[in-house]
Amino acid sequence: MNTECSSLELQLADYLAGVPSAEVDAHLAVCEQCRASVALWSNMAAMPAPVAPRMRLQLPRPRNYWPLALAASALLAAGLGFYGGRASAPSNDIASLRKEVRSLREVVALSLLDQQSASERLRGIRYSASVDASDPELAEALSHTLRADPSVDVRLAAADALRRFPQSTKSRESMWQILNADDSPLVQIAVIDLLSEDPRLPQLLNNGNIHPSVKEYVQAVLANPQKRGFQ
Amino acid sequence: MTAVREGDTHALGALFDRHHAALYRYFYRMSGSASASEDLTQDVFLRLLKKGETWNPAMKFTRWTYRIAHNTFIDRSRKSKWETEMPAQHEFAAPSGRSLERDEEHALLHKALLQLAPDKRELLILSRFQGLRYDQIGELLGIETNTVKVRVFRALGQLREAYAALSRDPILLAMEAKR
Ligand SMILES: [Zn+2]
Repeated sequence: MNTECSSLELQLADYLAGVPSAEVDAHLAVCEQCRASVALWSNMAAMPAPVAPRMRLQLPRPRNYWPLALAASALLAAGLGFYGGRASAPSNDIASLRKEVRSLREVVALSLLDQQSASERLRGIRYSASVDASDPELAEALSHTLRADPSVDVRLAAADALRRFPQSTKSRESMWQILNADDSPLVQIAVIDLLSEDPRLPQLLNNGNIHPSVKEYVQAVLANPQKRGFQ
Repeated sequence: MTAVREGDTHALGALFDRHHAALYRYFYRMSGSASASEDLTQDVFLRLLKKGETWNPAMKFTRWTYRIAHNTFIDRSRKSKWETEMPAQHEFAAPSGRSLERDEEHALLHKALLQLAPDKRELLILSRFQGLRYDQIGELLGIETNTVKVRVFRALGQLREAYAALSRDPILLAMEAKR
């Protein structure tokens, strides 16, 4: 590799990723090595993909669930005697197992919120109902979905799911921004439900950007704070 | 006692269905062994169970999974060596218009990839086959995007050299001549 090649490495890598560059084209015209590298890179694309065999998720059976099995083998190794079955499992192992199961739910809910298809994200929101409502990460993810999801359906579902969660000042502020932005009236109404205690609510009535139907809803909420949602 | 409850196993099963094939391909290209790749793929999902609590939600799920896959591969290759098997034809998807010459070319490339140091191989696999962008690779490996770019291009240069050496290999050439 000569000096010109090394000074062009970044551009060459971008070129591989499909970024056109006159400089790289000029270099390739005179550098056989780099030309061969680029050719090899395109040849790699034609390599057939390995095919995964039929596979199913193999979780250890509950009784052999591995933290317990590990604890058992640790006891054996330490010469502390035989591990006497599930009933006598050390209680901190069970606690850690419970913790794992709980975090798994969180992972699943969060990963579903991250999916391409709106129906998968809706599934994630439904799944969030099985997660401990004290989890701030999930609340943050739902609040992000409420703010930024491209689908109004998903945003409404996120607003609904968020009722279970205690609201941080940060999440209240980001919801307040939804009300001040030119946004879907349906989503705004759902947000008003979540912010029905907010002292700034009357300000919305003087906001020229707010849709009349949303204003009507604000008036109804202010007149009767207990009555929330569509009943 | 409550072990992994029905609903959670289902949920993990759904994740498995969605991601296991990509992980298998990653491991197959990393290890060159079909049986090791199956084990390693299962291992990743056991680790997902274990590591759920350390997931950083700012990282997309797929990249987080690759990070676990990366660690799984490193841990396992420290502990044991697996045989890189000569790939059987049925282990690969059949592209249209395949020719014998092309098959040999690709078998040599596969072999050349396996000759690279694992970290170099991984960069090429992630960027070329698993469809990750340089910045995503940087995020999952914890290195700067520009470092990724430089390393990918250098790894490609090494692959080219390994491939050229294999193509000139007299034994392989003799074997090909006999066919
Ligand atoms: Zn060059």
